[in-house]
Amino acid sequence: MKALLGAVGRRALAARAEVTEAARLVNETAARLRRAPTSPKGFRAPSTVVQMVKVGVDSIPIVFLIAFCVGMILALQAASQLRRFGATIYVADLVGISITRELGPLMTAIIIAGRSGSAMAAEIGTMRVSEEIDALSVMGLNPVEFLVLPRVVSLAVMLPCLTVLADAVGILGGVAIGTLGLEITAGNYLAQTFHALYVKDIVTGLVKSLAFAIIIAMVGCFMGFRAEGGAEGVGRRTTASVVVAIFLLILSDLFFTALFYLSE
Amino acid sequence: MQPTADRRPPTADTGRNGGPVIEVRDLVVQRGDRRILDGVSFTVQRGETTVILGGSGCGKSTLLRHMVGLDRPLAGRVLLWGQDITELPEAEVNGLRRKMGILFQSGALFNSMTVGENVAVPLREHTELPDSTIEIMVRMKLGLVGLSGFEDYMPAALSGGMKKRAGLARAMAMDPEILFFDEPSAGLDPITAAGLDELILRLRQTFQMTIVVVTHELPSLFLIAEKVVMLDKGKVVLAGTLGELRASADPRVQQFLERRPAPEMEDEDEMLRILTR
Repeated sequence: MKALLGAVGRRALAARAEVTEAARLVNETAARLRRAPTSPKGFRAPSTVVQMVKVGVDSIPIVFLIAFCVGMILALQAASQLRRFGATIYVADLVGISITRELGPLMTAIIIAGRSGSAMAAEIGTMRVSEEIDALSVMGLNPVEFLVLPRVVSLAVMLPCLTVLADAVGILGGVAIGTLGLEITAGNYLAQTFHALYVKDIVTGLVKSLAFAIIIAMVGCFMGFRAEGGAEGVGRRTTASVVVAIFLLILSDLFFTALFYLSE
Repeated sequence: MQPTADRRPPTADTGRNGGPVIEVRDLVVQRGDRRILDGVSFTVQRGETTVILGGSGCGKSTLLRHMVGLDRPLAGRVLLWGQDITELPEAEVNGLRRKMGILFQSGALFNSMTVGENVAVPLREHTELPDSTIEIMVRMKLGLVGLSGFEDYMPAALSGGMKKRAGLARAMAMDPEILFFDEPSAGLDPITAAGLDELILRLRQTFQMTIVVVTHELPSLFLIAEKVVMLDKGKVVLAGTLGELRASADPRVQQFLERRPAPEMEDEDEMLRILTR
């Protein structure tokens, strides 16, 4: 019993230390971000653009593919239920709304957490264990300014863009099923979709994706900074970055969905 | 090392000792319930080469990290040019850091940049020099460490010794007053290691820098050291000149210099504690 309590206590203390460090990083990032526009060297445009290409442009093919498949899956599932009532045209409503409000932002964020969040953790983690981050510090360069800001800013810009793309492609996936399997013309399908969608649906999705972007970048960078003990430590933190990011994504999605629901 | 007068006979180079540059006072560092440094005190004079000596795990790398302000101690002070870096705000510590360069154990080059870009980082960040001037300075610094023509190589394409030399070129980019070396010979073959030692000697003679080297390599020690600070289990065993180190009757010093293994561990609990920590 004593051993059990001891183990629980140690875990809790370790968890508290993690949360404290995470809060410190978020705090410093926010402070540096606020100061960035006024300090000449506080913001690194070239490395932000490099990151934008890495996390945004390079992710387009995979986001495209997955969003299209999810759109088709949704359409098929919806059709199998709605067919019984002869209401297959409403597949367009269902696909449109669930993609723009929920699955577009969330699926994109999960893909990017697996693809770019993990890369951030691995990259920064390797820099940590090979003393590159110490080297930055002793050269008088702030690691948060140098490494975290470009990543947070680039993801905050690119994830909403990718989400818009995923929304559009997901709807096209629905169109493909509608025209090929449900005898709905593309024109009718799209008209029905536009009739069902409100601007608000898309905007709430984009608000979510902005929050998701910050979560993914902060978790990735934080895990990288906390890596220690060589390759094994970097690997562990990289895995943790994906697991923790996806958990926080779902949690914040629940929060935002509840918020939008209550404000309706 | 007490801040007393140099006890060696006056030679041509004693004149350059211009007072203390680094003072470490009663430094205490603790990780968990393990005391890594326990009341470490010594002084480094301007223009002097000081070697911090000790076996693995004696806390010498930790001491170096505290001397450059990478970690904050539990107690004690580290004074650089008379200013206590354990209390200064980060912006001011960064100001002091521009006057010092550090060569890390692995070289710590940024892997995503070429060798030339690595050396240029401090110049681009801290000066307003035009690109053409920076390019010339980078070429000069690389020439100084024998890496002319390697500007466009990626760090991954360099050997261990070349990485360290490139790291040294970067550490010297801002013409620092103090240079720190963390285990310069670690992981290098004897010839490359000797080459690096020669380079350190040449730098001292040419630029009259204050140099602090952390090492456990005896050949390096005898070649480059003017002063020695020997650590054991987080405490200073001896701080003095190379002659004083050789003359010391302390069994720990003798054991280290004669490369004798540690006496057989008799206390089982102690053994278990070391194995499980």
